[in-house]
Amino acid sequence: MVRRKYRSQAGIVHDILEVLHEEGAMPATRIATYANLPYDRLKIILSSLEESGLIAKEEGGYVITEKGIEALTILRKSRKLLESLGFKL
Amino acid sequence: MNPQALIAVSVLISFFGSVISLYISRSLMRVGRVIGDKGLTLASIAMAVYGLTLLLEALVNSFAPARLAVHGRRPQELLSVLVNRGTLVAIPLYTLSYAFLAASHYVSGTAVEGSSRREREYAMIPLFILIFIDYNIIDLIVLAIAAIMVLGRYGSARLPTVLFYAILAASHSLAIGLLIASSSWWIIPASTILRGVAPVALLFSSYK
Repeated sequence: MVRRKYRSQAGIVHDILEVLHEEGAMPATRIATYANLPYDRLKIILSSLEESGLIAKEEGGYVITEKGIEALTILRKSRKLLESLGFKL
Repeated sequence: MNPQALIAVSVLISFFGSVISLYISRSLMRVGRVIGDKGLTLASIAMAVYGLTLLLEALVNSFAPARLAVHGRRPQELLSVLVNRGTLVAIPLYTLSYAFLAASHYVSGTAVEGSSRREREYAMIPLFILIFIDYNIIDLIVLAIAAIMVLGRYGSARLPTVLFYAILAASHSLAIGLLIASSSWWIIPASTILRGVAPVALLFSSYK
C-alpha cells in the first residue's frame, strides 16, 4: 500500500509566505517547487491566500502583502506551539 | 494521606492548567483565523473545551473537602463517590475535547502526494459513540485516535506531543483503575492533577 504524505495547512502557508518574503515576486510554478506541493493543490491554496489578502497577484507573479507579513510573523512565533500539538510544519 | 490536602492541590493545579489551556486556545484561534486553517480553529476549540472542563472539574471538586468535613469518617468507597462528582460531570466534555483534537489533525493535514477526500467522513465517528460506555475508556480510545491521526498524517511526533498524549492517557487510565480499586479515593484527585499538568508540559516544552 502506498503511504500518502501529509503536511499541516499552517506549514504549507508558512512555506509559501516565507519564500515570497525572502525571494520577492514569484510565479506559481516556482512556488510549487519551494513549497514542495503538487501544482493543482497549490493553486487552490494560492487562491485562498489571495482571497484572504495575504498575497497578491502582480506582473512578476505572486507577492506577499503587509497582511501576509503580519501572518508570517504570527506563524513564526507560534511554530513551536503548533509542533508541540502535533501539527507538522 | 490527607484527602483535603490532596484535593486542594489537584484543584489548584487544575486552575493553573485551565488558564494555560485557554491561553493556548487563544493563540491557536488567532493563527487559524489569520491563515484560514479550519484545523487550527478546531484545535483551538478543543483546547478551550479542555480548559473550561478543567475549570468546571476543579470548581465542583473544590466543594469535596467541605462535604468530607461534614460527613466525617466514611467508608473509602463513599469517599471516592464524594470526590468524584466534578470528574463525573467533566469526563464527557473531555471526550468532546479529544474528538475535536482528532478532527483538527484530520482537517489540517493536507495530502502533498496522492488524494483522499473520502476519509474526511470518518473524523466525526468519535462524536457518535460518546454515550455508550464508560467515558474514561472512550476518552482513551478517542485520545488514541487523535494520536494515530498525528502519526498517520505526519509520520512522526515530537517529544512534547508524545508527553501531552501520554499524560492525558495516564490520567484516564488511573480513573479506570477506580473501577477495580473502588476504595482508592485518591485516584480521582491524582488523575485530575495529571490533566492539569498536561497543558503545562505542552507550553513549557514549546518555549524552552
